[in-house]
Amino acid sequence: MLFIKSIIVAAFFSLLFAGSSIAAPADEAFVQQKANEALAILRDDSLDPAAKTARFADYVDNVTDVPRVARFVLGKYARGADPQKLASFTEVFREYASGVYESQLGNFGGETLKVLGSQDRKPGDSVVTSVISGGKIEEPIKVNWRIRTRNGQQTVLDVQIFGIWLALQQRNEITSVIANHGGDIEAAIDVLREKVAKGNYGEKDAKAASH
Amino acid sequence: MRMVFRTFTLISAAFAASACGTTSSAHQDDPLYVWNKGVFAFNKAADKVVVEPVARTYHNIVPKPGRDGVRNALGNLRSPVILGNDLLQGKFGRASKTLARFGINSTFGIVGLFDVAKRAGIKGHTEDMGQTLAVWGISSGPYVMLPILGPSNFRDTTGFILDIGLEPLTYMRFNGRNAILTGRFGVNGVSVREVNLDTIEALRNASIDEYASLKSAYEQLRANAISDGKVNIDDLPDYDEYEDEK
Repeated sequence: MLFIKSIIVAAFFSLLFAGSSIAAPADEAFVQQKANEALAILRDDSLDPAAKTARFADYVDNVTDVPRVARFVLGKYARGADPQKLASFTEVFREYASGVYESQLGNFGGETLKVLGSQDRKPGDSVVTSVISGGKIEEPIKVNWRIRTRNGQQTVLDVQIFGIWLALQQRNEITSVIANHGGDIEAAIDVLREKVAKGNYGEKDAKAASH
Repeated sequence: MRMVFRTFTLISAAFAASACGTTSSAHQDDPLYVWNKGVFAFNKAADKVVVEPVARTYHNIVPKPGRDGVRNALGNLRSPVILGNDLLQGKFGRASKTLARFGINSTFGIVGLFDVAKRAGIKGHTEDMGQTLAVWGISSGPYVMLPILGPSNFRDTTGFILDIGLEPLTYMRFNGRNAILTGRFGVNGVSVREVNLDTIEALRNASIDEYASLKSAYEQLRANAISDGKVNIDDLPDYDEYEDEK
């Protein structure tokens, strides 16, 4: 009797925790495919830098839900925000995010990405773990992808590289700028416009610096 | 454990006294914001005038194999602290790797100048008392910017002090010990700054708000180190948190 009770308890707990640890194979396939597409753009030497940037911007638009990420990085300031300002912010954030992602991934191209596994956070929200290796990389680099699925459509919400989630990092900076300007989103729009105009998103050889 | 709490309390009291009245309502997640911003400005100036130029000179005059050797040797000297923290966290597999690395690199690696263990497939890792306290369930406490030492929090500052207790040199008595400890601290600082020259420049260039960028990067990297690089999915923020529409 005790044995049967133990099995029932074990089954109950395995069901209870199953949702937080099961893999998301469809999301793993999505990451593998989209990462291959990104690496293909980055290694395409037939494109001049401007064309590559434009192509990469299209790619980012295609794989990420920019309006949703824009709201996320605004944090508490997104709630009840003026729709006009929100639209302006989303527009400039789109350019900025594309620049950051291209800058962070700019040195990749000859490398390959291999998906290692995934964790389901909750339905439609998973984290896929991958590793980039080969090419010029001395040590494999772990990259995690936060994937959201709604109505069968997958999008990338955030990417963690060198231990830092990029959208989370952007949120901490952007909300700080807004807080320093009395909660005005316009301040963040101005700062991002300036950043985009300068086109300075950090060194493309950041990974080399990590060694 | 009593000593841990006493040190933590002392640090809390010291900062509470020095930062009294400095809380900004706009930065509720950063109660020492005004103090931190002041120290951040000081550190940035000190970095510009002293630390970065010294690190760049070191980079320019010492060839890469030499710099790697210095970094390897400093890392090897840190092994007892890492080993102690591996054990205190109950990570015995990692402890055995630290011990093996220390033995191999101290002998075949010529006092740690060469990372022979890594070539043999035993990769290094870092641990410190700040991470150990986190594993024991002690919360980070407020973020604090320390003069010269840079970003930290109450837990990591406490850990930094307690790590001195795991350092064998603390218990050795000989002439010149303090000079060795001070010299090692200085060389380590220059070595760390040198290896991060490009990364820090990239962080500065990429940042929208340099202070917030450093704070965020520090907090994320520490969380990543505490979890040994594993993603704790329950710690991730919810993307629907600030949604208006349903």
